[in-house]
Amino acid sequence: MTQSFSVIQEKLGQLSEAGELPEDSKKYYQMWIKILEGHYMTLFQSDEYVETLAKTLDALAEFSAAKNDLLQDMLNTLPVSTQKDMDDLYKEIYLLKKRIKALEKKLDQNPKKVAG
Amino acid sequence: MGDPKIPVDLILSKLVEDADKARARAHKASDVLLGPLDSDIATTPYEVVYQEDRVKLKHYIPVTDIKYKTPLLVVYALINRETMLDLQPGRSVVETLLAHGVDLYMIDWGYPTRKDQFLTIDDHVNGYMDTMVDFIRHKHKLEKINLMGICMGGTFCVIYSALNPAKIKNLITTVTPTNFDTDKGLLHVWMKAVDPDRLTDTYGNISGDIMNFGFLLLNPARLMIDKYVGFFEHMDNKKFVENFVRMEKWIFDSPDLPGETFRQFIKDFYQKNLLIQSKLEVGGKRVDLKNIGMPLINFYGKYDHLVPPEACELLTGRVGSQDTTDVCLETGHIGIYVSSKCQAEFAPRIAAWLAERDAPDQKARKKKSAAAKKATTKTAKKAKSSQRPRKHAQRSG
Repeated sequence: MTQSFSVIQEKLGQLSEAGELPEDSKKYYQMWIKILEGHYMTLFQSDEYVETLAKTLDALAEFSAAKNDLLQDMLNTLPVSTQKDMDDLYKEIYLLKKRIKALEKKLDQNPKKVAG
Repeated sequence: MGDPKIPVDLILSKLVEDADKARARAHKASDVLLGPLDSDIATTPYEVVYQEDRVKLKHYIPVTDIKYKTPLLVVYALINRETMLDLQPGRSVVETLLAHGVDLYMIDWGYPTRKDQFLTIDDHVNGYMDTMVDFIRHKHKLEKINLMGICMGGTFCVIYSALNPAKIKNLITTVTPTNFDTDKGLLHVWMKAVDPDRLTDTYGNISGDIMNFGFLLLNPARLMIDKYVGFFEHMDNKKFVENFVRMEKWIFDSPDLPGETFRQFIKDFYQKNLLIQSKLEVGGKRVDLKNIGMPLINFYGKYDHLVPPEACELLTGRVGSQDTTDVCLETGHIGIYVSSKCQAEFAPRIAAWLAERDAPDQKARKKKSAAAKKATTKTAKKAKSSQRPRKHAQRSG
């Protein structure tokens, strides 16, 4: 953001030297947003940014996992089901449903063979 | 160095003029914003003809005689919602296809919850999609139907068509990523660096809101500043405000993405680029693009920053079909469906392309004509045999 302001300041200086400063105030905004867009694109594609993004996401995930583990430990002492309990249950339901659907499909495709 | 020539007077008078205009606009805008606004989206009538878990199959009520023998199933991405295809009256892909007489079905993936975190690409493609394709085939008593995919939904359609070529008559892919080995488009750059295992193991599903924030970050200058500046400049225009609200509703309506699907999509597609090399495996089967022998039309946007042309244009050269068309439209990812410019170039072109390919295909034609021949012979034999007794009866009578 700051960089985009200094670039537009420089650009305005050049336009002013050349006597080409636009009269319409909207043109100044359009010039600035284009510069800002370009700067973001350069930043977001840089190796440093990509690496930092990946590290930030990892750190955030690590924090969330640690927070969940802590809550999980606390909940274990209470008579309530934890997220882990629910996830285990969800997985079992998922696998059972998958088996049922596969069997239903087999039955639809070849009822005699399945029955036999 | 001469004095810089700055038209200070002109600039100042323009600023005063702008300030007056802004005041007048704000005054009018209060009437618009405080009055009733029609900002409903996805208003074209449909009925849910099939539902499995949270996934629904919508069938749009025809508005004219159905002019196509083969119905069309549209598969949207798991990111955002299919309502984008019917965002506003007059700029609706659904409306245009219906007006051309297409018998239209669409999958509504619904809102995955934590219990859906284990659903894989196989579950979506060989599970939900296959069941719905079969439902339509059986309902219409057809061997094949037409399939159209949007973005990630297009990738699913490519996988499905390669695994089930006998069920698909014509394939339409729109802004569909199939080649992920490109640095054009920030998603391709970023996704190579993220660790999908860590994210999936930690969060279960990937939050739609977080993904949405990521999409806004792809171009913050335009999506977080310029868009709202544009809104303030036109907020006295009721139609503009209504359409702006419709678009905002769609953008921020972001379902979560099932974790296992995210994991595979990032690893096998963004990081290993397996699909375009025909090396991807889904449900234990290799997805060989050469199996796609049906006609294929592949639309993409020249200025698409999410799925750039480089991610789309290799597909037609890798499939087995001889009837392939690439259409690059001068627009972005969403512009293909909602921009006024593309209303005449997109859906009507799909309707015309399908119309040219709506005749029963050669194999089916041959099968049908052989069956007809057999039936004719049988009928002739039957006629002969039935004539005989009649003759006999006549004789005996």
